[in-house]
Amino acid sequence: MGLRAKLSLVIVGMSVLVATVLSLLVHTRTAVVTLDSARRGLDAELTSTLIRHQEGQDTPLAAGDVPAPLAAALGEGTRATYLQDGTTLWAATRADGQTLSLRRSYEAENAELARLDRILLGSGVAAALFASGVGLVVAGGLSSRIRAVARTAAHIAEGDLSARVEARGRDEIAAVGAALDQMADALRARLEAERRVTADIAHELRTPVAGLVTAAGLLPSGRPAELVRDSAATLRRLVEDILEVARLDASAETPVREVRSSGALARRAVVASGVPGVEVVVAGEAEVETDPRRVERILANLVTNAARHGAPPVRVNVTGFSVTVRDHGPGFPEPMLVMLREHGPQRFGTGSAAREDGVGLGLTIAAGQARVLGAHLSFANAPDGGAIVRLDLA
Amino acid sequence: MIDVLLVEDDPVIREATGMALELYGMRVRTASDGLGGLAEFRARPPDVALLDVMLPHLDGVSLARRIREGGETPIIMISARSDAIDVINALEAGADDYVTKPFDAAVLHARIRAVLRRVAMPGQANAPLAFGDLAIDVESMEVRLRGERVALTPTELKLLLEFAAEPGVVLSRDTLLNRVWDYAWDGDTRVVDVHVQRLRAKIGNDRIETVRGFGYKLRR
Repeated sequence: MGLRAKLSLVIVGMSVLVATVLSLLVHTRTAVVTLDSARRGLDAELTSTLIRHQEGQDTPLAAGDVPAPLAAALGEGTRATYLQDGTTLWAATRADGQTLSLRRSYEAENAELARLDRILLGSGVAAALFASGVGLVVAGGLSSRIRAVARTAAHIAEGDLSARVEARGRDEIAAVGAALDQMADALRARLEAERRVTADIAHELRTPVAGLVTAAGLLPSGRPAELVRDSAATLRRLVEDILEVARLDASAETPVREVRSSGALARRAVVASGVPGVEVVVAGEAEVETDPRRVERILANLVTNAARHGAPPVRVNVTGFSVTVRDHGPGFPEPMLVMLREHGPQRFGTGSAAREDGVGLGLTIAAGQARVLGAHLSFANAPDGGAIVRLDLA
Repeated sequence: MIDVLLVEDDPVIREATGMALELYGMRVRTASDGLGGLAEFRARPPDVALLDVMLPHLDGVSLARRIREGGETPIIMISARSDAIDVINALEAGADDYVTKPFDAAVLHARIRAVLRRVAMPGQANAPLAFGDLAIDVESMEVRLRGERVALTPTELKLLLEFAAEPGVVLSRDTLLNRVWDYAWDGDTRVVDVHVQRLRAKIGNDRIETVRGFGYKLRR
């Protein structure tokens, strides 16, 4: 149950309770006062009637039996009043062994009390309704503000570091919102600083790596030279990948869009990946307005990744706007698949022992480039084994 | 023998690149800072200048601008920076191409050959071409706007000739990269964009149209 419903229920309950207690108090007190004054009135009437009776005038005074409780309360020369069944009010006295009594209907008072009850009930219900209306509005306002804070926190957690609450007011919820905004600012500044340091380090590395790559190219051919060249090439690829991730993290990338056919994009990406023996199956081509270099980068990374971590044959399927890359290896390990679906690719796949040489930055770059393009990347395992990554371009 | 001037402050890259290019049969002169590079250039203009962007004393972009003021010697920038602003700055200063460190010596060699091919470009058509008040004499490689001679670098001329060969046809950035710069497919499209801007500044802004999502075309 939401905060809004809870608060509203409490407010409705409280207002009904207060209205009931007040109504009961008013009803009881009014009944007592009304009866008291009715008794006193009838008693005074009895006294004056008695005088007229003794003077021999004709009066409504009756002689004879009175209700038993009244008779019991009467002594010689005393007066008493009695309400019989709530409908008849008696006043009686005993003189010279004879009981003289006066009575009248109590219906007028009962009607008056019933009217009062109706008014009390009506105003009680109205007050309760009004209170619950106000309660709903207030609780609704509170809960929607809290929800807004929660939504913003979720956006930030998903990586949108520009999300802010921008709460107005001076209450606790505004304070929580302001604190969240402050946290997001600090987080953003910190990530930005980290990204810049990463980019600077990678930039600084480019010069010595360039020297290494060029010098290694000059070594006389042989196995040692081959080893040095391979290592230099790996180092170079790594530095470039780190720089690309840093650029993507800066979210300063803008796509340069041109119209291309999806099949041609896939074929070129496979050539660019340099992975031999990749089969491209085009079931249907579509003309896409997209950044061809980024699409090729994504697909080349997926193909390289499939070849490195899966098993051949690696197959690329093109159907309209969507391109799937699948291999025939063991597929993504289950925990990694869950991670990919929930949080996207993790850099270097730290903590996953399943793929001994780590996942590198290939998937991170593919996902980042897809984000720049507004394209969608999804991950699955084929029922008969093998990892499937699907890129939806539109 | 192709005469290359390499201005690079990192000694390892300077020496290794020089040796690699010499293995490709080029003659390489080197300088380690911008002023040294300018002096070397003035002593004897090379066939092609390779300039690092970040140089002591006179940075590579300024050096490119100075070289461009004095002539049409092809310039290839070499840089560890590959952010859009760095690439565009260098190209706007007059560079013909841009190579990011680290590079393969083979790639650099290919870039040099490509830029030199533009200088020694054979005529594609013998008849002079005319588009309104813009006249292109392919034989003498002269371009005149309202009778005035327009100084174009070989790269700009080659770009204009590609447009002129198919007036009114939209040429994609990749097509232009391939035909003018000899990139198979992996070039940087910003090279095309900056050169089109430069060409527009020289022959009139409205002559080359941008077709969004497709590329550029020359107005008939």
